[in-house]
Amino acid sequence: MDQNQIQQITDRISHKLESKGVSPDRQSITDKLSSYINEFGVVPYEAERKVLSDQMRLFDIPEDDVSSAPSSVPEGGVYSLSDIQPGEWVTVEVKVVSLQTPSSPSISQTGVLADSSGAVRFVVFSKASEIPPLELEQWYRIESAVVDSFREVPSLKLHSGSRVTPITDDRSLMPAPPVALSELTPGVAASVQVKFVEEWEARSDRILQTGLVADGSGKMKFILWKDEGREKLTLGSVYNIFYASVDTFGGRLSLTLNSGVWMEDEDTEIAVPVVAPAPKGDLPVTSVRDLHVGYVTVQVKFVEEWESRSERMLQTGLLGDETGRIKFVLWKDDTKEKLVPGKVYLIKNAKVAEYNGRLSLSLNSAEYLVVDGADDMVVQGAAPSSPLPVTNIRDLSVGFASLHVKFVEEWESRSERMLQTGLLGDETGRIKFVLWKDDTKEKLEPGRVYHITNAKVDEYNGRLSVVLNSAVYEADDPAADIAVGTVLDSYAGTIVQISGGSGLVKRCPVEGCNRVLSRQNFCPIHEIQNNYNYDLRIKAVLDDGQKAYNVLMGREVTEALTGMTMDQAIDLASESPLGLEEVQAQFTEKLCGRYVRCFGNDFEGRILVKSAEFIHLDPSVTAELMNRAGSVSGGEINE
Amino acid sequence: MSDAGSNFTSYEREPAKRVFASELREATKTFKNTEDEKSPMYVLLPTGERCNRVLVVGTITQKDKIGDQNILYRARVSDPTGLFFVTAGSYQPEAMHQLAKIDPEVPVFVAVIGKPSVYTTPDGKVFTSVRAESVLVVDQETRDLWVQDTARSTLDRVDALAGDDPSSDVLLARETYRFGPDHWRRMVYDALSRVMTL
Repeated sequence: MDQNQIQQITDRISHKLESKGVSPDRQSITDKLSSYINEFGVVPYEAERKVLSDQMRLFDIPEDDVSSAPSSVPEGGVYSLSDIQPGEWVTVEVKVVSLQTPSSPSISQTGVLADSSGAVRFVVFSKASEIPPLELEQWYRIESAVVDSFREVPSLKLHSGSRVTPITDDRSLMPAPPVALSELTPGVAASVQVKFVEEWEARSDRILQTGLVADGSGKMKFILWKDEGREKLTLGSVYNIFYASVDTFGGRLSLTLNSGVWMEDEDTEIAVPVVAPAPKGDLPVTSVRDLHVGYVTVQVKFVEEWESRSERMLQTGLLGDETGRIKFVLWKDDTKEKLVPGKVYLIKNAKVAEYNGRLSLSLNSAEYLVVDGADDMVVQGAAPSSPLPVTNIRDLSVGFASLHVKFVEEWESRSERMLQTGLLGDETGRIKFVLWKDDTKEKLEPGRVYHITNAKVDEYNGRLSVVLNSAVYEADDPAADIAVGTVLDSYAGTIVQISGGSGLVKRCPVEGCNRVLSRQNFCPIHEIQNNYNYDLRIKAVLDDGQKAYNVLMGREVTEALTGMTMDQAIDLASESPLGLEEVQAQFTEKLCGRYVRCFGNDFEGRILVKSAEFIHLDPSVTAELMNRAGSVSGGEINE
Repeated sequence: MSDAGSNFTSYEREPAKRVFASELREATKTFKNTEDEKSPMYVLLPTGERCNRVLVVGTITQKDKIGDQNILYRARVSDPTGLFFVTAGSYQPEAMHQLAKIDPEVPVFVAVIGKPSVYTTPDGKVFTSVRAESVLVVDQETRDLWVQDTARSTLDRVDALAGDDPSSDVLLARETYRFGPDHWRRMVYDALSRVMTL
């Protein structure tokens, strides 16, 4: 969250405190908000409540005073829309400036309300059947509406307890002066004055028009959804737009015009060039990693061709160099020809656009030519050009790897496109492989040992597999053999419970018994045994969100995972008043709630764990998931 | 899913669903497997999966102790999308002791494992809280892993919610809840983008 928004919350808290006659330390309020919001990921409204409540206690102001604070209710009990705060119950006198089709049957009406101070979205729930349908352009007094905040966007909820009365006296709504684009916050923009500077290809059938608008303070994306009676804007014209919605998506704001009204303003000129002009000369070559929005020249290999999802698209896919990869798009255009996969191109003056925080390259403005003799260019994340050293199956990770393995089990292929599938194994484990049909590839012979160079390692549902189509493989000497290790299944999840009987336990010393003794050193078979043997173990529940597994870890695994040796556990138990239970309690603190990966086998409903490790964060996963969350209906997200 | 039809199959523990606060807040529909009286009470998530246990990770912002004889702890835990209301009473002694030890004046990340439950307040508001079984202080890495895990699980549920082969839970969610797949994808995106910049 940016400093500006934190400053606004600081101001609100400070005002409330100052109205109680105390002078708060603003810096300390800002620091606390910043810590809660930015370091600890607390939602801003909760951070505001918490810091305010802490301050109230600090100054000995009774908490109840906040909610019923007379100073926060305006004179006459009618709030200005610019003053309402989430969580408040308010009375407002407003005009309906826009009505929209509700997106859900549980909502009977939605749109925008305005007074002379500002505007807000409103929702009437279907359950509130006693509220009469609001009419466009009509003024109303609304009592007991709730100011809700959903993802930092305030809105007014009209529920069954709200009272709505039409205002019959003649009122006029003075439009608020335009707000600079850089000053907008999520919600409703009462008024902006902007120039339509760039029109973009609509990527969804439901979009009438999209592109960029600009004023002196900056640019912003806008969307106009198809809607009866709506007409397109004219590129290059200046508009006064009232009551557009300001949405936030991935930390960026955009304007949705459907809630608003606009008028072309022929008397005003905004000095923003309409479309960034293509450069006149040739630009120097930029690395993919260093690309930025604008025009660039790159030297890249065409690494992956994708199926185009639009009829107007000639070709799309991935281009890359040593430093990174980037999506490209080539729209249909009589003057353009398709690129050849695998070739390296010098692309002059391509346009780099940003969408949802990701860059892509549009080639229609560019000139591109094949660079001969450069096909062996190494592209980041793509198949390596030189043979990789051999990796054990246990140590594989997503990417590319070379293996020395035995073909241990052939499976029936379940797809017509598959030439062969089954299990490969080495001393450390086994892994599934897939070989897709491909004229250049031959089947492997079951039971033989192979040298496989540069196979692709994929992950699906948390399990790795290897694809051999990119690889070179060669059978080893017919006499060669590998003692293939036992298959250890991998279970990844959160430890949600450390069960009773975990930690330090005492075992019956009678030859062949080894049962765990009860608290009184009692063996169910051999009764009291005071010369017990100690052991360390963990019985836990590992939960991956779909299934809860009972797992059992022996002494070695327990020591490695907890970092506590058995001797340390014995010392701890003898020094603590809780005795053995202290060890279990410490294991609970160390392990419960943590993400752990266990390797082991299921034995009668319990996973016997052979090794276990904490799962560590891979920050690139966050970006992948953001792409997944954002890649819907052609990339556009709306409600 | 447990085999509710037979009383003699071994008991299978309900998995802990990964769910963001702003989704759990909307989860108001509860039901049981009608054929089995001993069936646990499920809360239907708006993304279309039943849930009898949750795993949530966030920052504790408030803790209140209520009552003298029958002590109940109530805590507020915030994730990047909203608030979880967490309770622990004498029927959850482990969670109660763990929560008692946590000082809410110093912000810390906690992992809460517990049962979701839906209440209707006297003025008719419905809200969903988590009855804790365990409350543990965890580090930021665990919180970040949870956000990724929860994002992935939520997107998997959303794909099924939007898909052509709806389960009975998906059908029920579609007719019960007001938000569709795009809304939840956006929530996931926002949650991820917040931890990314932290």
